[in-house]
Amino acid sequence: MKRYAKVVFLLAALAIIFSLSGCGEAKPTIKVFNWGDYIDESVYEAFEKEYGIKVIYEDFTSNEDMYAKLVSGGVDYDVLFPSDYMIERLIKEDRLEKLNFDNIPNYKYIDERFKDLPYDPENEYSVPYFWGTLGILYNTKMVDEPVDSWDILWDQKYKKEIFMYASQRDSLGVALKKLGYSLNTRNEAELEEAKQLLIEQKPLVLAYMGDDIKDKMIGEEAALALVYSGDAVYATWENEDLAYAIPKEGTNLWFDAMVIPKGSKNKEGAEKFINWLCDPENALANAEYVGYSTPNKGAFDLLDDKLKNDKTAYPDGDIMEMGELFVDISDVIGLYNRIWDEVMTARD
Amino acid sequence: MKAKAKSLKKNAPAIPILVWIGFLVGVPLIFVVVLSFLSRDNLGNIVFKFSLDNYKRMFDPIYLRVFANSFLLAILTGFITLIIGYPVAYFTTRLKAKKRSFVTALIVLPFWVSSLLRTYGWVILLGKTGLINNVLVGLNIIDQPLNMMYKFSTTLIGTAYMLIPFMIIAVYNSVDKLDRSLLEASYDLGAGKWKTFFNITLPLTIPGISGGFTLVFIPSLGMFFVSDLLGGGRTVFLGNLINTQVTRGRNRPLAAAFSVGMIVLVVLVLLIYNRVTKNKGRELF
Repeated sequence: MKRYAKVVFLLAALAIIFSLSGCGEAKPTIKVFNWGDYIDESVYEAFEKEYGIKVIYEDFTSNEDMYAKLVSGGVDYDVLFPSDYMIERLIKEDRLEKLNFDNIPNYKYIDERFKDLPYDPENEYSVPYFWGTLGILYNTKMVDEPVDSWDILWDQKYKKEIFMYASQRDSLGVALKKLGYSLNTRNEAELEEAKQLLIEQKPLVLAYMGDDIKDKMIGEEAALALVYSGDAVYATWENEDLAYAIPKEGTNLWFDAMVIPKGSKNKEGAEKFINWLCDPENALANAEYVGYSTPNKGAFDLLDDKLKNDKTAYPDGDIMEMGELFVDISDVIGLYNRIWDEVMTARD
Repeated sequence: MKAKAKSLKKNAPAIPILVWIGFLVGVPLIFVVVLSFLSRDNLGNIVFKFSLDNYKRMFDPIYLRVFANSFLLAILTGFITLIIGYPVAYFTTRLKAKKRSFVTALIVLPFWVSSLLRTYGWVILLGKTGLINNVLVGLNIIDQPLNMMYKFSTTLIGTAYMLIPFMIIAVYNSVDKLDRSLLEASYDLGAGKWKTFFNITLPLTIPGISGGFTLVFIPSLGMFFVSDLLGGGRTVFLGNLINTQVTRGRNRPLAAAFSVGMIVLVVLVLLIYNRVTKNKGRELF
């Protein structure tokens, strides 16, 4: 019996130690949950100095990871940076706070084109942070024809010279766009067609990967790759032979935006932080650091000419015409998962 | 009663460890098993409703293929590590004490570096613009770089490399414990080196071989980062499937069912291992 008493005592002591470590914060804090390497650290350090609010910064690697952590409970983040379809889902599930725009006067710098977006049509919950497109990164030494269509990713000439994303919505989205369908389709027949197309493509694909693709392309491991524009900006700057194209069939246009989840303990501090990131100077620092396209007009005007004129990051024409935003398809996620598993497990 | 109390006293130091293991292994395991019988809603949240669907789906041909892939990878990893590892272990035991501890230190040394980092090392070696291709092209041995990455065999190289120390150590221990007088007796009776090896050494080290095989087989089922980095997602293994079901697929119950399936596979291997070593024990000692 005595032994058990000891164990209980030890456990109790441990519990007390853990609970104590959370106390003793005199300074107000905000907890920020963002993508890895997605902010210029000096920007939030300056925020801490300016407002005396401590920023606790954590990062995630995918919307799904972020979502899992958020709904697991026991977390109290104040600012999140999810993507469009995830914001739509969080709104649907009533997990987000409405923003008080009186505390975010710098919202006026956000380009009008990036307001009223489908995931937050009334602009109540989110402030865009970065945006981009999905396209083809190619090596001009290995590809000497013009790249303007997804068809090139199905060209036998480039057997084992193609990288695809290992994420289902991106790769399926490409197949759907090539077929002329919406990349948010809920139609099983259309998805089956897309699946066939991707299985057909499999022998041509060198590998299905994630963030590594940009480094592999810089290292000239393959001729063509599916990449996001932000990665393409980085890659084309690192290797001059690389170029980026948005296919004419249309592509995915995406936004990452700042939101405040329910359960935030310092909503006002969070709004101050969002406002701080919308300040043109700060947005500029982030845009230069991250390399993705800023929706902040004030920051865009301040960009140096090289980035401002980079058609990879800031393409000409009406970007809303070129791209379709992802919509939350979690009601048919089972179908998407099955289709994708069939693609990935298929033999070439 | 008295004997029981005595053995309890003797085993008392083990109790905290058992509690610790029970807590950190047992509880999560129960969690996984329970989870595998639940379902999830469209948003990926767990629904507490009993269902066998996850197990039914496991027998879908596309997923059975994943099991087969993993099984093949694990078996081949076992054989390759055995073929390379056995001679290494065998000759290490023959070395003088000083050299021997140096060699064993070398065998264990890779564990000091993160396995992820070491996998990246292979990426650098095997890539189209990697070290091996650069050297071969530079020496005009080949004119086009070889495609060595993103194949089943690339993953196999990775898992075999990662796990070979386990095989070497297991075989080493069993060769080391070998009764030398048996070998001498064999030589005295006129058997040659090879005959002695196949008739005496090999049978006596089977416990070590099967132990090493088990130690290699089991982790190779779960090394999803190796196949992610070296296999390029072209062949799906159990570890990868579970990983993607939990993260991107948001289907934790299905992932749990696959985990249970994997555990069953592992238990089968352990049972075989038990049989092999037990029989040997009875026959020989």
